[in-house]
Parts: sequence; C-alpha cells; structure tokens
Amino acid sequence: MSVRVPIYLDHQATTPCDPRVVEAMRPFWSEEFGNAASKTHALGWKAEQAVEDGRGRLAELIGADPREIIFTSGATESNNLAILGLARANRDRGRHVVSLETEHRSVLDPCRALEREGFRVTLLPVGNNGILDLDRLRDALDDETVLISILHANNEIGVIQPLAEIGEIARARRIPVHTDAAQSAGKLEIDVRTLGVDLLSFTAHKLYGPKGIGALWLRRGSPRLRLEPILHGGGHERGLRSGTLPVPLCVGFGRACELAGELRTEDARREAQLAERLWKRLSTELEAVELNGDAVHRLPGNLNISFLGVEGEALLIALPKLALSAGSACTSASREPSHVLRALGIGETRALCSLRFGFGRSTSEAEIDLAADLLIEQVTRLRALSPVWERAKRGGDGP
Amino acid sequence: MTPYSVEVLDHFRAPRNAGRLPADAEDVGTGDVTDAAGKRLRLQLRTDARGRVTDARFKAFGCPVTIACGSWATLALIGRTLQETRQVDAARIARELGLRVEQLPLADAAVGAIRAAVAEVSRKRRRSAPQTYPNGL
Ligand SMILES: Cc1ncc(COP(=O)(O)O)c(C=O)c1O
Repeated sequence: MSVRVPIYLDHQATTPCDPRVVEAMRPFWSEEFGNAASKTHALGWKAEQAVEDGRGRLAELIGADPREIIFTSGATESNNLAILGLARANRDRGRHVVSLETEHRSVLDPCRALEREGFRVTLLPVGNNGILDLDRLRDALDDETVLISILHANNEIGVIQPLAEIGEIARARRIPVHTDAAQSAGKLEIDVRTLGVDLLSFTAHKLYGPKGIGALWLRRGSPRLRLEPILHGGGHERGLRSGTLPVPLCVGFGRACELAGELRTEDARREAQLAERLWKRLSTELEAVELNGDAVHRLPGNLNISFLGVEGEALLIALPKLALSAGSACTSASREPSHVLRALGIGETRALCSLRFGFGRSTSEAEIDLAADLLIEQVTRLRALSPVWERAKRGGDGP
Repeated sequence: MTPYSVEVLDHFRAPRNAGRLPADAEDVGTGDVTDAAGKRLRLQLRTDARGRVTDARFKAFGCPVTIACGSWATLALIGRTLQETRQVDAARIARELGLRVEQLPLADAAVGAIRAAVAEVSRKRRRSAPQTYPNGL
C-alpha cells in the first residue's frame, strides 16, 4: 500500500481543515459577506444567523449555553482574556494566581505579565507522570487567590489533569478555575456542567477547523464571574471581545465542532489503537525507549517517547519523510529541553532524546508501519554514532 | 526552512570515520567535550612514530551540526602532523561546513575536542619518548 509523504504525525501543532468545514465556510467569503453586527439589512442578519448557528454548535460540543461562548482569535487569546481579564477585574479581592509548570506559553506568559502588574503567581510542580499533586494545590491557595488556571491536556505529553477534583477544591474556597482545553476539545468528552471549571479555552485549528479562531467559554450564573476585556472597541461579544467577527471562521469552527461531536468516539478509538501499534513496535524492536508522561491519563492520539542516546533534533532531520516535532513547536526552535519534560524530572539527556507523535483522523496503519520502520532504522544508525549510547550500553562512565 | 547547509546534511547523512579507537593505547589521543546544552562530541586520533595523524574517529550526541563537525574533523585531521592540526580552527570548520552564526559555538566545541585529543597524544608521546626502563630489565 502506498503512503503519501511526509507522513503528518504532528496533530498537536495543528490539524488539516476538514473538507466539509471548508465547504461550509465557502459562501461566507464573497456572497454572504455581511457584517454580523449590521442590524439594518438582510446581509447583516444572515451573517448574524450564521455566527449564532456556529456558536450553538460550539456550545453543543462542550455542553454549554450558547450565551456563554465568546469568540476570540484562538486559544492564545482565550487564555490571555481569561487570565488577564479575570485577575485584573478581581484585583481588589486579591492578587494571587495559581497555575502549573507544564502549561502552554500562552498561559505562562500572561501569568508573567500579571507578576509585572504586582500579582503573585504560584506555578505548581507536577509528579513524574506529569499530573498535579492535589495536596500541593490545596497548600498553594490562600485568601488572596483570585484564579486557578490548570490545563486540561498537555500539548507535549498529552497528560490529562484531574479537573473534577481541582474544581472541588476550588469551589470550597470560591476560587474560579480556568482550563486551557486547546488539545482536548473535540478529542475528549467534555461537559462543562460536570468538568469542574468556570472558564474554558479552545481553538478551531486543533479540531480540524480553520486557523485564527478560538473561543472562551465563560460560565453564567452565580457566583457571577467578573472579567475585564483586553481589547476595547465596538463592544462585540458582550463587551468582552471587541472586533468584527470573522463570519466564515465562526461558521467553520461550528461545523468542525459538529463533526467532532459525531466522530470523536471513533477517532479516539482509532488513534489509541495507532498509538499502541507504534509503541509496540518501537518498544519491542528497540532497546531503551521510554514513554514520557502518565501511561493511562493521556490523550489517545499522543505519544511522547525518549530514544535514549539519540538527540531529538538529529532524529527529526534524519526522518524527512515524517512531519514530527521534538516538543512544542516553539521549543524546538530554541533547541533546549522543553520546560514540560524538565518538569517531569526526567533529566536533561533523556529530555533531549524525546520526540512527540500526534495521530489524527487521517492517520492510517500503513503510515504508522512505515513510520516505525524509518524510526527503527534511524535510531539504530544514530545510536551507532552516539557516545551517550555507547556509555549507556557499557554501563560505565567515560570513554 | 531547514537551518542546515548541504555540507552539514551530507556529513550528517553519511558520516565519515564514525567509531572509536582504544583510548588507552599509547598512540591514541582522545578529546571529549560536552556543552551546556548536553551535546557531546568525542574525537580520537592515532599518530605514527613521527607524529603524523594516521587515523581519526568520532562519536557525537547532538544536532546534525555536532555530528557533521565530528565527521568533517576526522577528514581534516588525517594526514596532518600534530603541529599542523593547529591550522584546523573554528573559522575554517564554519566556512567548510557552511555554518550559520548561531551554529558557531558547535564549531568551537569541535575545536576544543581536537585540541584536547592532540594535547593528550602529545603528552603520551613525551612520556614514552625517553625510553627509560625500570631497574633489572
Ligand atoms: C495547550 C495549548 N494552548 C494554547 C495553544 C494556542 O492555541 P492557538 O494557536 O489557537 O492560539 C496551543 C497550540 O499551540 C496549545 O497546544
């Protein structure tokens, strides 16, 4: 069976836009081009209807009320709006924010920005499996804490945090919880009524929708969440996110959510099988390959593997037929071991030896088999060149 | 866009003289450097009685540039006298391998390994040169 190369195994970075999504967006570029905020003519009304249909589909995917959905430009903006917006609006109540060492940069950097504004930020460590220790969370909270932001599923290691338990701890102290669900939305079953959080970020391009649109779910009801906008302007999106809505993207995001709702269970089952298939071959045909992050509480389509003795960047370049990443997309540019892997306490050398695999809707068994062949060949070749591998094999020290 | 030159990719895909020489041998010098980021290059050379490099081997753990530097250095060293190995410097490695500015530290590391290997084999040669034998032999 022939396989098209490069084989795309980087679905955490982004996913291809589903052709059905592209089709749904098509009329809204040049024909139905109205501004959803135009109240005086049919083009505006149609655009508004299309946006609201999309919003309804987003809400449906996560069990929310459509009025709780705010469109943004992506998960980066949603995270910024949630963290900066909530902390700033509540600074009279306290100036302490709690998050996690293994968060995405789009959470860590707004937290840093808050520090410059006089907030205290506690970044909680994780265990060797990448999961937060709930006692550490309990200990970190105080009367000044105005927000907890804990990601749902990690983009590098796929590990899933126990949001229900986190939410319980937070509710007892009346502290709102935000979660970055960029990697989990459309992949894990999410019902915001039982998930345990108050705010949730997600983005279209990780679930086969278009790039450039995301959303923040903001719980309605009491206690009322106070949020300060970060963009000021025409008062769109209930005043929380000004700016003309990108109607085609709202439609595409909606269609992508609808498809995710239909296909999620089957996608997850297949991706877990593919992950198992690759892991089986690598771990039986190569020595010293190690899985990073919890083996059970993880996204089905994610593997993060260390190939001891082989540097990840070298392995990537040795595999031009595979589109892969050695960590998160931004970390691979700086070529330092990722902050996520270091947070697992696995040691710098092992962290340098890791690759991330992300399977998706289109990944086939034939692709996995070819990927396994190429990986085994190149890991073996590069190990023969590696003084680190030589030392590991001899179990001694020094050359 | 790949940050690696064709020369780097050539050495990376088909490394020359990968392997090891017996580090304890009297005619072998070893240089082994690890940089702050954990990348490692081991360079070994063997000299004949007149101090000419007859063989060189490397092993490397690191990005394609680290591996290419090791591979290229073995070719550059074989045939030179220990004295002449001075001519192999970072600027020359950078030029011949088409390195980018941010890759220059890796050329420096390779030079560090070359100098260390040369220093070690020179030391061994000085030590064995006088040929004095213990009493009774
Ligand atoms: C966990 C996580 N959060 C946030 C983002 C940023 O999402 P976006 O590209 O929509 O801004 C990403 C993707 O890069 C991610 O993986």
